[in-house]
Amino acid sequence: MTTTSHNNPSVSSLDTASHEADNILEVRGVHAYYGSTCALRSIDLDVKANQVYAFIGPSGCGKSTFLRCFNRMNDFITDFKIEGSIKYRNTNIYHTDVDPVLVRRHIGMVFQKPNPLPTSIYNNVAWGPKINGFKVDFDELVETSLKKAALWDQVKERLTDNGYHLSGGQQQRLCIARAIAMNPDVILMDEPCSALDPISARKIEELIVDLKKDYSILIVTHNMQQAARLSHHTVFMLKGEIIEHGPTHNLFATPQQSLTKEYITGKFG
Amino acid sequence: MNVLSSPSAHLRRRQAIAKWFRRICRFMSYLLVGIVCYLLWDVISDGWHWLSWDFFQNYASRMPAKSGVRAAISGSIWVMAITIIFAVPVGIAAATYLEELMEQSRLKQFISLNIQNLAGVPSIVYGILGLTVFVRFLGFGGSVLSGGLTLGLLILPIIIIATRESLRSVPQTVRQAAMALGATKWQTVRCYVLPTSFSGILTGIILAISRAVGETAPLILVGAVAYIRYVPENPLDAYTTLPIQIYNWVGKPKAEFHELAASGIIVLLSLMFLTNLCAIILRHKKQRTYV
Repeated sequence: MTTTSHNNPSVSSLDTASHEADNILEVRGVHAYYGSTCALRSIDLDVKANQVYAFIGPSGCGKSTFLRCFNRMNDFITDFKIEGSIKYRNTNIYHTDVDPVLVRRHIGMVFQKPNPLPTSIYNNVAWGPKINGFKVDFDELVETSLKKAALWDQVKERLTDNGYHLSGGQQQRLCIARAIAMNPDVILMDEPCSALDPISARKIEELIVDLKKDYSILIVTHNMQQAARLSHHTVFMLKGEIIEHGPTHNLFATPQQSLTKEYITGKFG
Repeated sequence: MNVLSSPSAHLRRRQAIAKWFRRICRFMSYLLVGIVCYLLWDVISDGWHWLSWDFFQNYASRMPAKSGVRAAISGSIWVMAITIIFAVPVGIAAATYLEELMEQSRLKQFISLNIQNLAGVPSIVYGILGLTVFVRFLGFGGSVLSGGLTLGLLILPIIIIATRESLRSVPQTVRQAAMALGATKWQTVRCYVLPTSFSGILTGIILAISRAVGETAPLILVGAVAYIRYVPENPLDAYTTLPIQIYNWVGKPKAEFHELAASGIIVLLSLMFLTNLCAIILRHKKQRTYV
């Protein structure tokens, strides 16, 4: 069985939104293991700058594991092993000379469950830049980040409140503000809407539409309408392998693999 | 006939058992409270009339009327100060290393198991260890320093276990949030993990201290002296502590000394009650600040 069908880079030129953007991330021959269980199998993928990539597939297919490979969050899991290379701007982030702390400073992440830091709203946004030695006006940075996350108007009167006092949707937007305050290149989002009610989820989705102008976004989602609405490219994964990937409208309109077709039409998953 | 109007014999029997279960549990709880109240009443009725300003001002004496706990209280405070200075930083650092920084390994399991075991070692064994290491080998003699370090060793496993429990209760999502922002392990632990678990750590420390303040056996071994007529002025001075003073008074033939022992117990219990109260207040305050 062929594991990938849209390997040909010329396919992306069909996408009107891309104008010969360079690859910001290149994944080559990645295998990942939890102990002796293989979680990812010979993954190859190119990620172009300023594009949105959606990862779809049934639970346990390895899409979250894959996403966490990009900022080395899997390093904290005992028994986790990875082979192959992931190049970020032509440097392998798994090279022994690369400090994972620096990787995470450039590749931000938004988690499935909103997880504000147990501190004030202001510090939630300002802490990352502070510890990374940013020399900027932090008041201004907090304001612009919260504005970009469409949260400023609701919290500007209470920046000293604990982040946990916000509603779930507001907490998730705070987490997004926190990520963009670091001025990252890439933002990884692991099902950012799945723990939220539909209205908050829609607000987050609108926010992602705004953000995709400025950042490369990799988003894991269970919601196929969301993938179709948001992304330029869609990657369909199953049992740790990429079954098919390509421009989103192609993948949904004319899937090349029967498994993809069955999944997106709801026959399994 | 309605199915609900006549409960079967079987159901009635089950309900009777439930009722008796409840009665037995209630009896046991009240029994415990009763025993504690009786002990308190016994001690207070014996020792109450000796409690006066003089009792806190006087040193130990051959005459009951001139006896007091001045040396014992100051000795207890000195010993506790050294215990805290030694055990708290070491305990928190060891727990943080084991819980947050150390890679999962056989060595880690071995160390964890041994700390669990150490927490159960009888205190007299720590006394023997203190005697060998601090009093003789390091030559501190029967000093406040030896006593404090010995008690420090005694409560170290308790502090480590309580701190680890408390660190473990900090949700993993908090660590992930900080690490994903490009924080180092140290920044994550110092800024969020330790402050969030502060109240739990503090509670563990204070419980450990209230255990140490009542210890007698190891201090007898490492050379606490019962009859002392001065307040320790430096860590190498001889000392006595409240439990040692109480133990000494109980062993005397005169009945007045037994009453003095009761007064000493009142002072010791008040001291423990105060530390526990501090723990409760601090924990309550912290809980309101976080989450």
